[in-house]
Amino acid sequence: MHLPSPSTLASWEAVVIVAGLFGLVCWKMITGEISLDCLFEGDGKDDTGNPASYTSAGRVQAFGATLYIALYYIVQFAHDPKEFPAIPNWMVVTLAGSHAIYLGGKAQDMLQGRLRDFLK
Amino acid sequence: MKSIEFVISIVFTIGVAFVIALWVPGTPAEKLKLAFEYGMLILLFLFALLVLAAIASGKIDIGQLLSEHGGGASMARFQLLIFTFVIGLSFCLIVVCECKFPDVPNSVLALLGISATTYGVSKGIQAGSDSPPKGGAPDNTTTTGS
Repeated sequence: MHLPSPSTLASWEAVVIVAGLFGLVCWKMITGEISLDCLFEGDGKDDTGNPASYTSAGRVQAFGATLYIALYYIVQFAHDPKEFPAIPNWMVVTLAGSHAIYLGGKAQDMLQGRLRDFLK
Repeated sequence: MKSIEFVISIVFTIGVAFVIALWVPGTPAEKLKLAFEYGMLILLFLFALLVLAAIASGKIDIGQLLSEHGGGASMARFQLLIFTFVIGLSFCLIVVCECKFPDVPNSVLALLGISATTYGVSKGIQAGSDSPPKGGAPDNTTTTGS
């Protein structure tokens, strides 16, 4: 009886489980069970203190940067699946900057009410 | 042991371990070692499949996976999910191709670090604010997150 080695079996099991979970999450996103509503909506408030509905530029650019870098990573990995792809420094810095802008916008939107109250 | 799937997994694992112990050539000590190794691998795999099946059937609800406190999807959770899956899956595939633990470059670690830090900071900002629910319908979860 020929059996694959335990390490080979374990690595294939890991691939099946992670890919299965990824597929499930994607499927639930497509069918709407995992809601993506308001993904681009900002956290600001109107003059009455209620949530304002508007598209946040910070969220849109963070989404774009995330998708671009994830796709770049996948394409590079597909070319040579035997090692992690090299990600240029400028790309890491761009991602950090993009997320800093997103977080700055979020902090400004969400904490400005508290700051206003504090300064009164 | 309420779940029949759980019992079936254990019985199947014991059966496979018996088959390996009986029919694989080698000394008794080697057979025992192989039976234990394969048994544990199969048991873990079956448990993971049970979890996946429960998620697929809705018994485990992951509908709020990307939702932040007060409703609406969170960009921080979304980007962390994307990077975790992309890097995790590539890690598993490299292990399959090379049969060794791969060297993880600093740039990939930095990518994951930035992503996870963004999630953490976003959650902190959300927890520190007194913002009312976004997107109309408030949810009744007690967790905060973004």
